[in-house]
Amino acid sequence: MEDSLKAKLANFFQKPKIVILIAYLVIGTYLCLLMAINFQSQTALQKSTLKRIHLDLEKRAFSLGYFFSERKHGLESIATSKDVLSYFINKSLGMSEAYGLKVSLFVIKQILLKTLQEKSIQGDPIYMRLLLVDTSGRPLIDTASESQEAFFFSSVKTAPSPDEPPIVFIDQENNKIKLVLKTPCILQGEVMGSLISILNLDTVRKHFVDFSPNPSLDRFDLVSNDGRIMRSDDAAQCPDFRELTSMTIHQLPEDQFSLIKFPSERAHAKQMMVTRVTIHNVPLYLLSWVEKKTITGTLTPWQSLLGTAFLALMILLGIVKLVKFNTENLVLQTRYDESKRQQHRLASKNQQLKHEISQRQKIETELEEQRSLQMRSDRLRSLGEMAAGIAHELNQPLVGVRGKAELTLLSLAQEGPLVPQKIENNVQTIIEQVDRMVHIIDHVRLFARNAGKVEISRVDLNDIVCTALTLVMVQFKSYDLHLEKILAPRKLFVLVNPFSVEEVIFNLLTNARDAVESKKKEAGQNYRPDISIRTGSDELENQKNIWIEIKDNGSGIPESIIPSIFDPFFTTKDPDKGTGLGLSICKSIVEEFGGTIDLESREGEGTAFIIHFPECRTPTETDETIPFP
Amino acid sequence: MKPSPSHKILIVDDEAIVREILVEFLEVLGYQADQLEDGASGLKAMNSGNYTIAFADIRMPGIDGIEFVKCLKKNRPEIPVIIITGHGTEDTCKEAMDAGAFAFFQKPFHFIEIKEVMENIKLLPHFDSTI
Repeated sequence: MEDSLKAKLANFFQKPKIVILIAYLVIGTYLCLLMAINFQSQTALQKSTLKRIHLDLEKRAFSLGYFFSERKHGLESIATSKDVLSYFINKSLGMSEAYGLKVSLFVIKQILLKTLQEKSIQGDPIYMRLLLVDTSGRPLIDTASESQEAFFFSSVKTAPSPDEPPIVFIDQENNKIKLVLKTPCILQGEVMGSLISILNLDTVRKHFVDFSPNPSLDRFDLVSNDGRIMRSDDAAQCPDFRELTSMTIHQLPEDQFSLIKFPSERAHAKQMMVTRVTIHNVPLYLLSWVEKKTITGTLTPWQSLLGTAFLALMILLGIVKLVKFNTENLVLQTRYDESKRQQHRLASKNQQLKHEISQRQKIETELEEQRSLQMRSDRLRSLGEMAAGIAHELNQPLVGVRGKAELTLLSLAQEGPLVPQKIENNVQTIIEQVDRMVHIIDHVRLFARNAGKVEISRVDLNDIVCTALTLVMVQFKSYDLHLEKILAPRKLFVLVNPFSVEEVIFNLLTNARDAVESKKKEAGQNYRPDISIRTGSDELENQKNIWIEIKDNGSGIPESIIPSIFDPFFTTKDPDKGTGLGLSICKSIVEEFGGTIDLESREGEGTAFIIHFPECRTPTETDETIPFP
Repeated sequence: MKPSPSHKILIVDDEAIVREILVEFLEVLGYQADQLEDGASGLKAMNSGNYTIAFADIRMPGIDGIEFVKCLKKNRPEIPVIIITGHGTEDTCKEAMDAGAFAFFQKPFHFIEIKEVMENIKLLPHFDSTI
């Protein structure tokens, strides 16, 4: 079970496509993870940016609240100062205005003017105007010049305020917003008048609202709680907020940014992130504006996610392509290297082979030389031996010739009736021996006749046999031998030198004659010598073979010497009957013409020599040009 | 000078004409010679003690001339053997003489040679008394 599972697994992983798919999946997962982390971090970054802006907003709101309460305390300290109080005391005591009160008012005015001048933030005056009014709202003291219109607190509209009575009031007369502070002057629990200050809105804005560490990113605006934005007129680059109604502002959540389009009806509207913070105890909001794209860029995280995903996909595809390309390249490179190596191997092998061939050729040449040398020395030796054999053969009858001649001379020196007879006998013997010598010389000449001639022609083997028989017939008759001739009725064409083949037949017939002669001596009168010569043809493996058989019922050849029967100079005959060259010459002649010679023999029963030649089918030019006699 | 009839010569040669000529030559010289055509029967005849001189061919069927001399010298060292050969070389001559041959002739031999060798044989010490 486990083995089969293992085998399955091995089989599974052996499939290259699946492995590649898994690799792609792993890479894809990794990229997705990267993208997710990127998305998360981007979102976090946006959040933290918004958070920072919100914190800044809160800080500003707090600073403003503190600023306003400071101003309130400043006014309170003036309102409760003895100068102001003494005025109200004197007034209540009924001091005449023209005298005592006027002085008192002058002193207060001096204080107020001093305050107006001195109270500043880095040189920018905080207050625009300070007023002391009586309970009816009639101004007692006004720091403004006479030309300026009178200020009546009654016209101040108090915006809806939180629980506590507001510190600051907002005057919206003539479409001009004024920040107004009012502090009652209380004498013995009774409100005698009020100290009113009109704040310098520009200073407030400059130092608490308009400054921004990063003006391109965010900006702030002071808004009354009824939705009026307090802004200097030159802020033209700001979005048009006329659409931003007080209702909208009220609906803005305190701690979150809301997305608002300006202007809303346009397609390519600016998308602004807006939030608000209430300033403590003041009917004012602090608004924060951030253009959305400055935070998120032009893309939303989702768009960026999609973009990144697309990029990742492209990278993945690129990697895949690259890997594929590289792999293919690698494979090609490997194949190229392999083929180069193979080529190299082949080249070296070739070189080796060439070397071997040349070596072999050299050896063969040497061998050939050696062989030819051997053959030459063999030929020389065989020539020498043949010469010795011929000399031996000739020397025997020469003994007779010379001896008889000398005896004749000796006889001639004598006198007597027997001398003529003797001389005649001697001369007869001399003639016989000379004939014998002629026979030997004929034999040699026969052998030498066509030596070196390799002219071959297409001839009928039957013709050769007939020619050879005419030579031996006379001889056979003199030996009183019967020769049977059975020739094939059809022509047996072979491609040979007819003279050489004739020599072979002659040799074999002579051997047969000697064999029957030898047996005749042993067997006596009952033995009937029988020599036959036959020709024919048979088919063997699509090749027609011409054969000739010379058979005798002579003494036969002992089995022990059959293997060496074709060796040169091997002979069992008497020295005057052969040199031992006959059969070896026969064999070399037959083989020269592509034939074979075999023998079958049984000692005491006879011998048969069979020669095979391949048939020559197509007539050649020599067929007509050299007619065999 | 007639040679003693007690000297009988054996000729061993497989060649009939050679034997015939030798016999006739020796007859002219006054010797009686018998002939045999192979070494084995020749040795047998020699060992019988009938012959005092031998002529032998080298190339013979069976026992050849050299062997013939060697065997004969073992039993009858006093008998001179004359070696005749059809194809003699210096080597065969030396071989024959080493084996103990008295003389070595090359075929075809001359009558005078046979005559001389017979006269030389007569000079041998143990032939003195008999001749």
